[in-house]
Amino acid sequence: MAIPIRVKVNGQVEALEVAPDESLLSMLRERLDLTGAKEGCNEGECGACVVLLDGKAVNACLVLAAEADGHEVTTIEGLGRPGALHPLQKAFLAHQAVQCGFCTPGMIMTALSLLLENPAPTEEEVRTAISGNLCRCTGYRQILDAVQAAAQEMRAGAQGRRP
Amino acid sequence: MLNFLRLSSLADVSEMLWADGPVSALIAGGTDLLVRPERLASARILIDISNLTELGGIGVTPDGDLRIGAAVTHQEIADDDTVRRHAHLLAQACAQVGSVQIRNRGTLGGNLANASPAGDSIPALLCLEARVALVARERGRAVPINEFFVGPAKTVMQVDELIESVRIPLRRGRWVSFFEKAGQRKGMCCSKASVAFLAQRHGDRRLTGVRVALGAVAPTAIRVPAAEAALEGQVLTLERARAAAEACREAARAIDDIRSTRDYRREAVSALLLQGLLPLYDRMRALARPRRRSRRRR
Amino acid sequence: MTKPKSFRVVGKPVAKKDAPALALGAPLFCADRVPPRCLVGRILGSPHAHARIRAIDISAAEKLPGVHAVLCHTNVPRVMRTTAGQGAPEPSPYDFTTFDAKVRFVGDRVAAVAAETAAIAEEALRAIRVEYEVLEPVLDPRQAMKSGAPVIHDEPDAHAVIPVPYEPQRNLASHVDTMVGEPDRAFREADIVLEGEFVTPYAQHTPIETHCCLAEPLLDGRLRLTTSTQVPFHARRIVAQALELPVSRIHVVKPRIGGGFGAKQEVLIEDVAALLAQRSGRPVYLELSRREEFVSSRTRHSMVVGLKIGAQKNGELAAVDLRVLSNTGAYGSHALTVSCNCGSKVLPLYRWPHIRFTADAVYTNLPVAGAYRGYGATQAAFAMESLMDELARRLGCDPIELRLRHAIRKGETSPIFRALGEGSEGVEQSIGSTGLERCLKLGARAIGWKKKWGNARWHAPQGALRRGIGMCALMQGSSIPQVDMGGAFLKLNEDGSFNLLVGATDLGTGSDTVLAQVAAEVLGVNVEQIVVTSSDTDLTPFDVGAYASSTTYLSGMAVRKAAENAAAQIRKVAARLLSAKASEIRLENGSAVAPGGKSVTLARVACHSLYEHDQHQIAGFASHISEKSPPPFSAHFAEVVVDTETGLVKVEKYVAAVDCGTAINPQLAEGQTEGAVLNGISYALCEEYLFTEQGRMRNDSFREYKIFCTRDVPQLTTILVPTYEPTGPFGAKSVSEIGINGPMPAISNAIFDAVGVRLRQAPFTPERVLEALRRG
Repeated sequence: MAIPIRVKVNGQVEALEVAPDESLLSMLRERLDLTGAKEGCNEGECGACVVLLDGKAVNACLVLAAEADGHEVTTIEGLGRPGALHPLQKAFLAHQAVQCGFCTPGMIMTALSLLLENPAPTEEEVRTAISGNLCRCTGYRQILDAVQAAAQEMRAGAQGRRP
Repeated sequence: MLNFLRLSSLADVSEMLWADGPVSALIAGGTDLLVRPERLASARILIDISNLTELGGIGVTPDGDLRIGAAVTHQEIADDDTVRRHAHLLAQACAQVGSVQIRNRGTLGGNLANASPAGDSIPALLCLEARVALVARERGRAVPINEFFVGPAKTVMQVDELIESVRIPLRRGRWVSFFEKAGQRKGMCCSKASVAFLAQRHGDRRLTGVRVALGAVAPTAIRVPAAEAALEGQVLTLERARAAAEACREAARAIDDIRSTRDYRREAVSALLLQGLLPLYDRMRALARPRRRSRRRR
Repeated sequence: MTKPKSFRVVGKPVAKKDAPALALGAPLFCADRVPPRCLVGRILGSPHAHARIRAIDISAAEKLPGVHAVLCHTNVPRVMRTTAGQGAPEPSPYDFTTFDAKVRFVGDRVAAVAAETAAIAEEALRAIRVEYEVLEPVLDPRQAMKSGAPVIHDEPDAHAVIPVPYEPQRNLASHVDTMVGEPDRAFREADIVLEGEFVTPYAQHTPIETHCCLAEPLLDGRLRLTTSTQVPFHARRIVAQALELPVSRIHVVKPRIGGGFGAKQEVLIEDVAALLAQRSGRPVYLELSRREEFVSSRTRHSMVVGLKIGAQKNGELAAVDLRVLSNTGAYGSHALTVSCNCGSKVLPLYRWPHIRFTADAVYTNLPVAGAYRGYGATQAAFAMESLMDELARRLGCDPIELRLRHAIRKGETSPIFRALGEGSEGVEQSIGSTGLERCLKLGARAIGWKKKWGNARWHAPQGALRRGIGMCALMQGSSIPQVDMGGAFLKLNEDGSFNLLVGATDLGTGSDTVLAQVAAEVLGVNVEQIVVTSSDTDLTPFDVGAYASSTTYLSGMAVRKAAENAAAQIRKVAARLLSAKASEIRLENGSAVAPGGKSVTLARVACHSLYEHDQHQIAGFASHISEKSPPPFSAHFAEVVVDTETGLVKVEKYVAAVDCGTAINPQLAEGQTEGAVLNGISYALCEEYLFTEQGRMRNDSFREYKIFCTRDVPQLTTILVPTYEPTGPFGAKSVSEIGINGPMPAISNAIFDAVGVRLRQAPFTPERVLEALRRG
């Protein structure tokens, strides 16, 4: 059974036909060629597939594509472009928070959802927010530092735009 | 062949369940269903209930209950001011479920329907004496939470019923509560053992309406009447805290499994209760102290 | 080589070359490169720990529409080999073939399919009929060694390819026996003899990307494997061996890979992917599910390490006796070499006059062990550093002082270096650099050792909580001497940039960037001017791959030599353009500079050499092998709080001071250290495989097998202690493995300091701690 859905992905409306048991992750990776979200466990435990669904961080492996009908999805591909990186991406580079990079897209998307709701998180809040994103390469410190630096940068940017 | 249905009213869902309950699976957040391929494989119809407005919302009903819709997510509960005011314990417990990604999808109704002995919201709801509002095609009923679970993954729900909401009686006065859990690591863990505590705090440092519930140490979450009795109507002392902790240890009918051992779980519930009570003991003594001093001055 | 006065690019926190694209989520990984209409590969795993396949019927699976290939032991040639990605001939026994008529652990390969969709592939697996003769499994290595135990490798063709003890009929995958001096006499004459048995569990690397491989038949009849590997060249050789093809028919490409840690030093699924592609004539993508990764890939060798040490009352060390019983699981991948490493990376740290070292690696019907960061040193260091802590307490001396007094020093050697190699004799070496003393001092200062050690007030109980502090000292190696080889090729382009082609394998460690820094330092250019192509068997020179802490030290030296070679050619051309002597020309800021300051850009040099006169390609090439394996040294410090009611051990502070020689990229060296340390803490406190009595893994998912997340991270301090290793590129040694060895002993010692209970079995779960406390 093919289910017709309309879903806004990175600002663009996509009309697709998906299978009932197809995950949002498969839909993004296989139908839309958006391979930034990674499959690490397929059971919501590693966070490598995190995308934003209506602005909130979710594990794309635990959302059915059909459930995304009528909703808005943001993936890492919607965040920055070569030469025009998002402050979070810049901060990840500057703090060497990217080692193998497999967890990075999910990590950045989760951090983004945090900063959208809480522009000035404490370290404890950052730790709690990204505790569902596993990284085996780093000791997380460089990632935590990067998120804090990005938060500062984004706050400064928001203030700069205001006057 | 699997079918997927997104229905727009509770009545339609009830109708579907009445006709096809045994071969249907409801999906709200999906955080549990999608990690159990065998359950997904056994269903012929997936009914998406995440968009039903009737299952959403948090508010106070005219008859004085806090109503939380079944499809409200753990994160929404943890962040909600009304819940924090009237059922802080539930907000505390929901904040400790899974990761933010899981809390953003997993719903209270799902947590109840799955009936895991380790479900973190359940001990809190036991303390809060919640009722589970169930609906079916031509009937509805409210089941007290302590009668809702029959065993691991088993509830009193009929195949054509679904959870509409959870109702929590409003409380007056000043209440103290905590939810403590032990897991394999700090974040994002299934509980090895958990303790929920709720009591009304009085000016004379007495506690009344004491409720203690444990998770993951019995086939379902359980209340511990002996622990409650040890504290009920009393000023909190270290001895009484220890007696209540001992009662928790006694009450735990834990098993050895993949996450922990029977013996450890019994120790853990006792320690977790103490861990929550000790700061409370300190806080209540601190609150009492200035008054004594002022009396002396007089 | 002597130490230059200062560096321009080396020692600087250069951003990782691949980081921008990775942060953008670009399609850089194997799974991101699956072409349209690619077939899906799936492997059928054994449900039994030990069974003979009496009959297998694949006909129903083959007939399913959409199925393009089905493999099993009846239709795949039997070629005995090892999956261990090591230099040839491998020190691991040839006890494995692509598919066998016997299965030896739950999850062992039975068959494989390639189909048009995952659903069809899974249906095909279900359609395969297998009749098993279930055999008695043996799960405990001690039981496995008893006479009469079930023989796991009873096939006549299992054999060792180098002359080492190998007795499969006794379930013995390897045996090592070494003695220095007269340990028995020394123990008899020692005032103090301490002994203990230390148990480390089955655990896994759990790279967030599981093993995956895309196999594509090419138009010229060759096969291209895009695979998540640490050893592209070994993968090419081993796949060629399995398919009975010349290596020229195989092209292995390593894209970005999502972590390795040793797990991908194994040629684990490439053979199956290649065969499926060959049989179907279609591209096939094969990836392990997380569950398969846990069960069917590789693990750390679970060990029982028996250690005895003797000393005199005055603190002199008398003798050491290290006995290792290693569980290699169903196959002997890395069995021998991991055992050897227990001795060779732990015993030389202290100046033991008398030594005995024995190690048995034993087959069981459990998941297969392999290479895992630390590689045996992790398990043995737990034993050694725990007993050294006990010895310090017996002697009434500070454990730091004990280590300072006995640690190997610069210019000294250890008989172990010569005695223990990779299955053969080792290589004699003397220590060319050590910063251990400074590591101990700076680490102690950072954790506040003086204020805390032995201070009753600091240790005062707070309710159920007890505080403790512990430490340990460590060494590892850098590459396998006289065995490992890395090659590098470098050519100059018209714009003054260079292509650097290396066989070396970046697993996310940043080695592409580190190697570019080495080249840039030599050539006087910025890192941006070095375009790196790595790990492509058609394009790049050979390199053994990323293991044994070798890339920076060994491949880095190949790059340095290749760059110097190219630099000499640049100087020659520049000398003509500048009318100067080649030997006097310096390369800096992208130019060749003659004495007096006259200069010419490298772009000009390139154009001149490519287009104008005596046209030729300026290019440098070099291979490098090392005569030594210089140890990095490290000191670790842990401060813990033990809850005596819940048994929970919380690591509050952790300090790792490490001497990796010159840190070519300090940020990356810190990242390596922190990653290894956290992995080690997670291993020490909560990681462990659990099995049923039938040998099935019970916690085969991230839901049950927990690795540390952000909320578990202690306050982590990394201190890089610079030394200069004369045999390494710009003084570098290695850093990637050593950090994982410290947490288990440092935390165990801190727990003892807190509650007076010594934990000799890891992980230190609350259950275990509480039980130990109750026992007292």
